[in-house]
Amino acid sequence: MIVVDNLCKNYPDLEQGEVKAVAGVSFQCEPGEIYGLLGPNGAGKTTVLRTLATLLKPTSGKVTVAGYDVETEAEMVRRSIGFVSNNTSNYDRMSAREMVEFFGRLHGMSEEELRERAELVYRQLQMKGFLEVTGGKMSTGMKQKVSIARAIIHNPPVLIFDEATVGLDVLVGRSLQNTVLNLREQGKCILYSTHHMNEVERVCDQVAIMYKGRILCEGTQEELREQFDKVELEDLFFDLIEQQMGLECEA
Amino acid sequence: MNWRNIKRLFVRELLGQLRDRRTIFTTVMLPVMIYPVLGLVMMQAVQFMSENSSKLVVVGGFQYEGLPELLTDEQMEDDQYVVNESLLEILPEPYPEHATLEGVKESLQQRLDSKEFDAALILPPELGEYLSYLEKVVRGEAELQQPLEELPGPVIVYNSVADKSKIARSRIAGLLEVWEEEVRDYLFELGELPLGVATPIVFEAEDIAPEESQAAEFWASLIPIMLLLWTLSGAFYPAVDLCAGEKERGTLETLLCGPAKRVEIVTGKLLTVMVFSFATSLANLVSIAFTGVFMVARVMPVGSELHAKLGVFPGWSILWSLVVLVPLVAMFSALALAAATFARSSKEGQYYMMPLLMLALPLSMISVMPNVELDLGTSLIPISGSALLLRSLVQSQFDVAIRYALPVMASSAFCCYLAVRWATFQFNSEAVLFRESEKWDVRLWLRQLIKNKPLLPTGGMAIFVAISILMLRYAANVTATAPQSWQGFVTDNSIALILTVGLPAILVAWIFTRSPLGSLKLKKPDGLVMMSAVILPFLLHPVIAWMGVGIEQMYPISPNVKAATAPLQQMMVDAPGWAMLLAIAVVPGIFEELAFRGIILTGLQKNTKASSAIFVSAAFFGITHGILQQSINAFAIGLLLGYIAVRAGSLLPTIVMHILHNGIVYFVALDVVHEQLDGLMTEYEGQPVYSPVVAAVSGLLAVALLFVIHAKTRPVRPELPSEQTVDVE
Repeated sequence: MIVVDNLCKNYPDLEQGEVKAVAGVSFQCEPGEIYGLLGPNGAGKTTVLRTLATLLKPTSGKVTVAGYDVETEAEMVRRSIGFVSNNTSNYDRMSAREMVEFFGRLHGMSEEELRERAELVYRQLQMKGFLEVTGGKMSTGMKQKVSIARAIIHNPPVLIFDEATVGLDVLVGRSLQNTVLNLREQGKCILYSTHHMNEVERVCDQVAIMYKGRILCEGTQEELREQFDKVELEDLFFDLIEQQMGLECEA
Repeated sequence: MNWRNIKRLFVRELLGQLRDRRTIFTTVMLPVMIYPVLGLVMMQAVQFMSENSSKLVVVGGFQYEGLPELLTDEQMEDDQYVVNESLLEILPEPYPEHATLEGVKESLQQRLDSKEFDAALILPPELGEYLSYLEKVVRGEAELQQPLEELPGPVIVYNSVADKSKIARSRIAGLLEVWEEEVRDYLFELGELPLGVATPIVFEAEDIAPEESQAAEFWASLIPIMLLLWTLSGAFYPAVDLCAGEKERGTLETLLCGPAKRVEIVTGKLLTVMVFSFATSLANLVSIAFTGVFMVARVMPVGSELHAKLGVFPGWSILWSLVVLVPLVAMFSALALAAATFARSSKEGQYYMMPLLMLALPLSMISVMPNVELDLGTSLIPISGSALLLRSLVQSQFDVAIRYALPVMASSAFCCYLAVRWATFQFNSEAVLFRESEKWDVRLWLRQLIKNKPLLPTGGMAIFVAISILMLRYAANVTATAPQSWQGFVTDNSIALILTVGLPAILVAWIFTRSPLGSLKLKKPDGLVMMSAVILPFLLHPVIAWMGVGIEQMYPISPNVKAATAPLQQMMVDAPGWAMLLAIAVVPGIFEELAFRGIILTGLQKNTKASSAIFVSAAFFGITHGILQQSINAFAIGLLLGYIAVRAGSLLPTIVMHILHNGIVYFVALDVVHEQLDGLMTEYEGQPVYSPVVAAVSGLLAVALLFVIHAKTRPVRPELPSEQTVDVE
């Protein structure tokens, strides 16, 4: 469903010249699976996900989402995904209902279809209480729900969550994770990036640990625990990163 | 107060601002650059401001026996009189037999309406009779008989709404005043002037402008400018909010990862901006009309001094301008949107209002200048055309307005299209959409430029070279003194071109790129294109010559410019052929190509499609040629040269074409060569041109050759392996 093959993305940077934000990342994610991208800030997670959402163009490598190439079939890719990140805000002067339905119509849904689907989404996300509240007056939790509703209104096969729990309290964070798990039950292919270990442990089937634009290791949680002989994912993560930093110092 | 803390805070704030390169750009770079750019625009606008000669028809005889002459035979050129340093061209016509003064006036009015001439002077036969009678009275040969209240005077027929006609009127009036004085002095010398004939000639002026448009000029100039400014500001603030504001609030990314196409997003935003801009100008217009109709009438009643000075308010008819506002609103909205997309934040967006205003203002000011009228030429100039169209509507000159509405709309639509393309381009540009507030430091930046040179120039470098050339050319134009001899012309011209055009291109390629030769497109060219480059200039010359004639028809060269270039023309004739070829063909051919088709085109190709790169490089090539008529010509030729350079992947064919083209122009202008080509030439409006058949045949052959090139070659991307570079040393 998502196939990333040797993706590279370079940025010009004033201090360092060309910066390799993503340096040869490859992975795959199947329907009904939650693939977790775990990494510290600046690891390149957001760049990978923005490339998947066709917001950025790859410098090299090939990326397909739902069978569409992100470079040549960007529009089809965008029709097949729902993208939620802490950079995708809602309109301040639009109510929850208007926001969700606006995106449904942009996706070309018929009124009938939209009404049914919206009803279902509002129920699933428990949004009935604040449908007429405008974006500016919503609490962080409400905003997050509207974002998710906006992303899934067209029932896309692929969902991308980029550090979607940043800034949420424990309760709202937990409810978001439940929603993600629920979406997996519906057979969605889900890419989930975070820097919280406990989230990964709770929701992800496959995990990749990213650091400085590369994937250091990849596998199911059990596989990783076995491979590195650690019980806690967090220890594993710290060890790996420290190891990398040590390698860099030697070099 | 702790001064140390103040100092710490001051240094921090200052550093914070200095690290934002856009602040530096808008506060320091922009003011430094904007005035030379304005100067360049003014130099172009001078074409419209400078005095053109007035065409005048004089009906009736004006050589009276013995009396001083209004016009002398020495002033005769061909079949007309040229006086007042060529500013008045007077065509004499006999007074029609048995015609009444009213009848003559009427027929002249019709001819004036159809713009056959700018104004007419009627010298009725009675005037001659009266003057000779007066002479006899003074000599004592006749008795003063009739009462002298009604003098048969000359009549000037003009149109006060048309600036050209008004200027013609004041010129002929000046001439008449001088004549009147001469006649009076003459009579005075002969003897005693009878009482009541202190002024023997009293002329009257007949204004044919309809009453509602007479004296509405003050309003006609003011209203368009007010509207233009409001339209722009009405477009700008929503545009900033819709683009930069959305970036700030984080909703743009939401929209961008949605299903809508970039061009759909841009168009949607454009329409919103247009609605606001239109609403602002509509509100303005209604309010101006309301205030004008109800207030102005009260504050300045008919007969009051203000009324006399400012004229009649045009009334509700100004609401007609709404029609013109649509293209104007579209253009300003698209421009504002494009500028606002570039901004990272609303604050930064506000910075861009000023340069846009600085660009729009001089162009709209053209409508206030006397002597500038709405015609095919001016209607095609963006903003100016709309302002002039607005003016003629405010003046109730509906016939003129209708005639040029289409060209104004077309030119506005084209500009609007370009601005939308620019905005869409920015919506596709990651660098623009996801610019983080990076730290900016001049030293770091320069070190990066030198240390991590790109293989080929970037779009930024291309724009930098283009603007540097513009500035240097401007400085050179302002400081240059006219050469005194052909040697001076050849050396001055060549050195100026090398320093202002060639050097920036070569330096940037040399210092800032890893492949200077590739950056300047100095590679082995495609064989077919290279061969065609030798043939094309010959085939295209007749067409280009006709294009020049067409451009001059639309934008006539003012007598001032002609007079200024006359000594140069003479020098060209005096100079030996090799020297002239060096100065006007070889040096420009090499160095202009190195700059415009070399580093500028190559740099632009890195950031945009080849077609856009060709267009922008040709636009810069055009602007660099100071005189409007040359600019248009150069722009068209620049498009062709750009196309050839992209198809050949090399500069060599365009250097050859450029040298050949300029060389041919020089040779054909020589009399000797000119006579040789006699069979191919014909005459058009007194100028030698190729016969249409020759132009058509050679033009078709050129098109066929270009078609072959188009079919047989592919555009060459500059970044392709460049091992085939040619060693130029």
